[in-house]
Amino acid sequence: METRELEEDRVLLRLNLGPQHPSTHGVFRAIVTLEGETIVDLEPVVGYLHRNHEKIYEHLQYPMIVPFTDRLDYLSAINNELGYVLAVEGALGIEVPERARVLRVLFSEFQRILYYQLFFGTLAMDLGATTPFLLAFRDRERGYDLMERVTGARLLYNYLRIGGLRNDVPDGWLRDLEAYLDYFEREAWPQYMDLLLRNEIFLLRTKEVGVLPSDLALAYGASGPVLRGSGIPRDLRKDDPYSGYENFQFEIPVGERGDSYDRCVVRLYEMLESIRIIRQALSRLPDGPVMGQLPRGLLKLPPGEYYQRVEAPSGELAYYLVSDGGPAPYRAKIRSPSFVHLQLMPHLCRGHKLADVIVILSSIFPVFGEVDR
Amino acid sequence: MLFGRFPGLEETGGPAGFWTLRVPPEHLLELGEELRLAFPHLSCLTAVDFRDRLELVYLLYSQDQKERLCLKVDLPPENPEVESVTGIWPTADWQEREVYDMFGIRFRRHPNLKRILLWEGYEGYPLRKGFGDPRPPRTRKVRPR
Repeated sequence: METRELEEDRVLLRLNLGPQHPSTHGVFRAIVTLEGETIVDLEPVVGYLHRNHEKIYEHLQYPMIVPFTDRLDYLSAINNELGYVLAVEGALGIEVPERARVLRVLFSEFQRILYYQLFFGTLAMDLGATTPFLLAFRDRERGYDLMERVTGARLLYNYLRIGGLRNDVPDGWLRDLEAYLDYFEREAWPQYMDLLLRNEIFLLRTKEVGVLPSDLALAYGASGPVLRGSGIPRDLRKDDPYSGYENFQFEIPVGERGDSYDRCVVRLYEMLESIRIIRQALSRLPDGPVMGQLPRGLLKLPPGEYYQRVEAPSGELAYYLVSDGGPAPYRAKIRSPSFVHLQLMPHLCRGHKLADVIVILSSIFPVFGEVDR
Repeated sequence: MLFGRFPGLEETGGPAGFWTLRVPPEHLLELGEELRLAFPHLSCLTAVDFRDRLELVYLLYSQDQKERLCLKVDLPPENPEVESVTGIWPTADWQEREVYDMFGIRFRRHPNLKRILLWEGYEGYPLRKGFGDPRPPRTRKVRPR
């Protein structure tokens, strides 16, 4: 689609970007209005990956929904599962064994590291640099090998259960995880920082590009690294703790200007904080079962409504469940952070050049499985 | 104080941990204006179809995420219409579009009310309870032995 129109005395060009453009990380379409090369307006079009998860959930029993939540943000399956099982456990009042609680924190943080590794790789790739992408995949491979040894799957784990975890970690796995973290912190992470922060192209392309003022971020419900990049230290792990996060010490990295650079650097530093949390989890991991006692028979939630938020790597992920006492939810709603963040695209892009759209989209890092649900 | 100013406002049951108010549709905008400073974070806006009525749900948090408030608005299942809150919480923009897309609730004075996840021209509202698949049933083909 390409149309030209005259508006007052400006020549505007309307250009279609996507939905199958390789830089859009999925299927995202943007209708861009340009004056010369400058963006006058941008209209995001989403829904190409829509499967109506929420309708499917209404026909599934509660434990059957867990593998579906993997497929929301397919890069952070553990975090998605955690939000859902916490919502159901909260409704049922199930006690989860301490070992399972700590392992859940450990796996969420490990997933967060793997998630930001991919973010780092694809951001650099979108700027034209191939090396960081390959480095990120070098480290991700080893991370996914570790996940595979525990869960049997590399991306979509179906590992968390209502009441605990499917299985305990195998012998020697924790030691290997520690070795991986040591390697990542000492060798890979400084390499990432060098490749980005001492790269002039990266600095020129991201600094002062896509500035998100903090008041706009708050008004548009931004969360996670997008909000923290704008200098607001909000993190649900601290503000609304779940699964025992209140017992862990960690910092919340924040940006200063809220541009694409800050959103990227915030995520890189969060990897270090995640490592810190995992080390604390390893040092206090108790022995014991990983599965709690569930009520006998078909799992039914008492009639009522339940809302559970978790800090997914992309931001504030929440599940809103309405139960009528049956074995399946009467209504399930997923509050997905990427969907909310994409609303910001027109505000971030106006006044920038067409090439900056790619950078700004990458710095928000929406995952379309979650946007379109 | 609020109850005196908005007739019809009443406390009701909601999600655990939330103070829940049932708001008459005509007072939603005024009440929202009143609450925007105390509850700037609209976490979630959605709807539930109870067959005899549609229920809009607004889940709000205070700036420090400690205070929680839930607003509920009942609407009739035929031609449901309510005032848009995009002027108060801009984040409602796409979430209202999604509710329109899935439940057919029209939001007055919404800047760009059109379908978001489904395409323009799609018939029906999938998350309504009465929604059925309009496609003809699939016939099963059996290969002759």
